[in-house]
Order: sequence, then C-alpha cells, then structure tokens
Amino acid sequence: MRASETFTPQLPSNVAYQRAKTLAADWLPPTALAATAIGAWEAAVRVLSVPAWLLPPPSSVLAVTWNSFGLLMGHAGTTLLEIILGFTLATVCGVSLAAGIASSRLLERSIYPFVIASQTVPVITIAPLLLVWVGPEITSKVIVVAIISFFPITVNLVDGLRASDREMVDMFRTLGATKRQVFLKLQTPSALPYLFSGLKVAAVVSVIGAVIGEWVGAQGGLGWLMRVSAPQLQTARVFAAILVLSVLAMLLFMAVAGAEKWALRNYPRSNTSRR
Amino acid sequence: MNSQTAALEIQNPTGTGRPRLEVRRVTRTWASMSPGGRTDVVLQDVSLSVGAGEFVAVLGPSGCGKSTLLNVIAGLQVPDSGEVLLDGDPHAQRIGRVAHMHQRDLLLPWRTVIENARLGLELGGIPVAEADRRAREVADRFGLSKVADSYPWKLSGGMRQRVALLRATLPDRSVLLLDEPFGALDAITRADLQKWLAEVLNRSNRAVVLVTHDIEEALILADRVYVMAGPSGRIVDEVSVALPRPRPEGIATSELFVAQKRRLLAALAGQEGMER
Ligand SMILES: Nc1ncnc2c1ncn2[C@@H]1O[C@H](COP(=O)(O)OP(=O)(O)O)[C@@H](O)[C@H]1O
Ligand SMILES: [Mg+2]
Repeated sequence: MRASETFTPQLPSNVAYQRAKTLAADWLPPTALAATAIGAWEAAVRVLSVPAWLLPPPSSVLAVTWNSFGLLMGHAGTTLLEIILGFTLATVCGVSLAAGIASSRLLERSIYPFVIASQTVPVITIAPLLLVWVGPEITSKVIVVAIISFFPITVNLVDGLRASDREMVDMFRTLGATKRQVFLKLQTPSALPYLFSGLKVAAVVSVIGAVIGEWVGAQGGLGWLMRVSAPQLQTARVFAAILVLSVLAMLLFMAVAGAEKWALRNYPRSNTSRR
Repeated sequence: MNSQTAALEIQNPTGTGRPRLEVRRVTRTWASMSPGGRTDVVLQDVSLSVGAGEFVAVLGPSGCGKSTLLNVIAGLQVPDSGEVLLDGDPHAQRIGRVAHMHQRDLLLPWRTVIENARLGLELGGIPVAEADRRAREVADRFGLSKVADSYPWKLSGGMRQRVALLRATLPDRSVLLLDEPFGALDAITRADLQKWLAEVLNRSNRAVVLVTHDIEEALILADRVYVMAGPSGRIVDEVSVALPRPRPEGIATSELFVAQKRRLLAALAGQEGMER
C-alpha cells in the first residue's frame, strides 16, 4: 500500500513529460523557423526602409488582418464554399472514375489517357473560358477547383485498387468470391490509404484552384480581394489575404488528415501516419 | 464378413469406393524465363488420390511444384494435360468448392480475427450475424476466443496461422488443401500446431492434402505420403504411414518412426522406393 503510494505519483508526471516532449518535437521546429523568418523580414523591412506598397512588414500585415477581419472573413466564406463544393464534386467524380478505370480494361484504355491529358492544360487557360461559358458566379470557380483536385484522387485510387496482392485475390477466389465481392471486400479496403493520400493532396490544390478561378473573374472571395487590392497598392491586404488562405488550406488538410485517422483507425500502423 | 469390410473401410478409407479427390496424370508447364524460349515443366504426370477422411501428405523439396499442384487442384491454375476429379467427376467446378490454406496467412489487416475467420461464410452469402455466430462457436476449439476481437497484426505467427485455418475450414468443403501451413514458424510453435492440427482435423470427414518439405511433419500428420522430386515435379514414391492414430506423445523417437523417416529420406535422395 505504502509502496504503491510512493510509486504512482511518478507515473502520470512521467507520461505527461513524454507527451509534452513529443508535442514540443512536433511544434517547436516549425514555430522556431516561422519566428526566425518573420523576425528577419520585419528587421529587413525596417532597416532598409522598404516602402509599404512594395513589401509591408509583418506587423502591418497583422494589423490589417486585425482591422479588416470582418471583410477578410466574408471573402474567406465565399472561397471556402467554392472549395467545399468543388472538392466534393472532385471526390465524387474522382472516385467513380477510378472505380471504372480499375475494374474495366476498356474504360482504362479509353478514359485514362484523357484524365492525364486534362492536367497538361493549365487551369489558368481554362478558367477564363469557363467564365465566358457559365458566368461570373460561383459555378465557374467550383468547376476549376474540381478540375484541379480530381486528378490526385483518381490517380492515387487507381493505384490503390490495382495494388491488391495476387495471392489475396486467389484466396478470395478459393473461398468462392465473385468479382464484385473481390472489389468490395478486398480491393476497396486495401485502397483506402491510397485514397486518403489523394484526398490530402486534393485538399491543398483545391485552394489554389479557387484562387485561380477568382483571380480570372469573380464577384468576391480571397482571390478576388487580392486581385483588386494589388493595383490599389494595398499590399498589406494582399498579404493578409494570403495569410487567411494558408490558414484555410491548413485547416482543410487537417480535416482530411483527421478523417483519414478515423477511417484507418483499425489498419496496421505502417499503413497510416506515424501515430 | 460384413463387419470385417466395415472395419477395413475405417482403417483404410481409400480401400473401397470412389476416392473423394483424384489427380490423374497432370502436367503443367510455364513459358521458360531462361533464353532459348522453351517451356519449364513444373508438374509431370502427377497422379494421386485421397479418400474421404484421409490425410495425405505430398513431400518434396522447395521449388519442386507443390504449390502449383495445389493451385491446380483448387482450380486456380489449369493443367496442360491430365484431369482432377472430385467424387469421380472430372468436370466438377472446383474453385470455391475446395478449401485452400496458403503458406502465407493472407489475413486482412483491417478485419479482426473473427471478421477474418468468417470471410468464407460471408462470401458464400451467409448473413454477417449468422457467420459471426458460427465463427465464434468454433473459435474456442482453435484457441482463439481470447483474441477474437483483436486485429491480426497484433498476433504471433502461430496464432495467425490458426485464424487462417479457421477461415479455410469454416465453409463446408469436402477437400482441404494445406500449403506448408507451418513453414514460416519456429520449430517449437510448429510442433505445437502440428499436434493441435491433428486434433482439430481428427474425426472430420474431409479429404486433406498437406504439402510440405518437412519429413517429420508428413509422418506425424499423414496417413499416406507421396514423395515428389524436382525440378520437373514427379511423384517418385508413395508410402503408407504405419503409425497408430492418434499419434502418441514422443512418437518421433520411436523405432518405427525412424525407419519410415529413413525410407522417405532415401526416396527424397533419388533412390527408388521398395514398393514401386
Ligand atoms: N508464375 C510463374 N511463372 C513461371 N514459373 C513459375 C511461376 N510460379 C512458379 N513457377 C515455377 O514453378 C516451379 C515450382 O514452383 P512451386 O509450385 O511454387 O514450388 P514449391 O511450392 O514446391 O516450392 C518453380 O521452379 C517456380 O520457379
Ligand atoms: Mg510452395
């Protein structure tokens, strides 16, 4: 009894120490790097007295972010809506395409080349056309986001669906499985980690897609805000918009990573991320 | 008279009636990978038969074609010539009707032990709840009830092989193929599992074919042993194992066992057996 009393208090503090240590290992390097870079930027701008319209110091970017927070959030909402709709569209199309390509030789031969070709045309050249075709509303932006982000989803998922172990397929066949059962109970679950790799890339590039779409022509959104702020020499506001965009991209990535962690919670560790 | 034949039938199930599984003069070749572009013969004129309730081992060195033979029997590969008969029927659909356990356990990492074990039942159209119940019923006899809801990547090699065997045997099949099921395990675990396998399969009416490169494993488990020689797999000898069943403790050091082992070693070394 007494022995356990003297022993237990050390255990939780030890666990807490370990946890703090991993937390520090995760957050310290990027925080230190960011702090150094921002500090150097602030110092350089002040020492060399760079004009604010050319390169504003971080402190004034923060000040603008703070002062125009409502404005920035309003435009961020527009951009986020485009991203979510476009990303959803890309996921639906990307998954269906991959399922078709992986299960039919004919579809693979006929469609896959065009899937790849679609990425050789820069979206910046498609975006103005879309604007002409569907108008300046949100639709053209949603389509640009979908075009740019379905690709990593499709390519990764096709690889994943094809990666099933030959012997596993044989095992399923000796158990009497149909092709459909092999697809649903073997290929699909083994492709899940690949799908999430694709979704993570798609989440990040979808932000780029939305900005390109808005840059070319829009009625709102962070890309549009940057576009109209630059000629007015409101450079600090451009940086503020970039800051909000990066936070948005990071949050999207973390949302997908969280969904991945949940969906793959029963998979062996080597298949999922570190923890 | 009648009781005598009945007694004979129990001792030697292949003695009367049609064998459950028969392989007749099966030949299988691969396009050669070496220059010259001819074909490699993997199985040459292989014949064997297994009765209901009989346990047969095919003993041979690595690469002699044992896995290929089982794949042909299972219907996964088509032979160049020869035929495989199920209950005397050469046209019987074998894929999905012959249980096949591979050397690798091939467990699905995202399924728990029970979910893996019930896979065959599920694929056969049995409702999940019913499949689950039946898998759990048998899990105890397989020593798996404590880990029933664990994931396979947390289990030892021996436990994983038990799950693989449970999965292979749960659907009702008259033929069971075992491809070096314990080949990847350490000697102690292997000996344990051999003993356990003999108990689990005892009194079942299946025809069992075990392929192995381990002489003792063949002698401990099988009623009859076919000896296979490479590189172009041929059956060179057939030995009936004259050991009491169930095999008593410490049989591996008995005189009879050692004599049969010597016989199989000689056959493997290329000397023709005495019976052939
Ligand atoms: N897919 C394949 N293509 C070409 N040769 C193969 C293939 N699979 C097996 N073989 C050859 O067949 C022979 C027998 O293989 P296998 O049946 O796996 O032997 P064992 O199970 O007895 O070790 C080997 O020499 C191997 O190289
Ligand atoms: Mg083999």
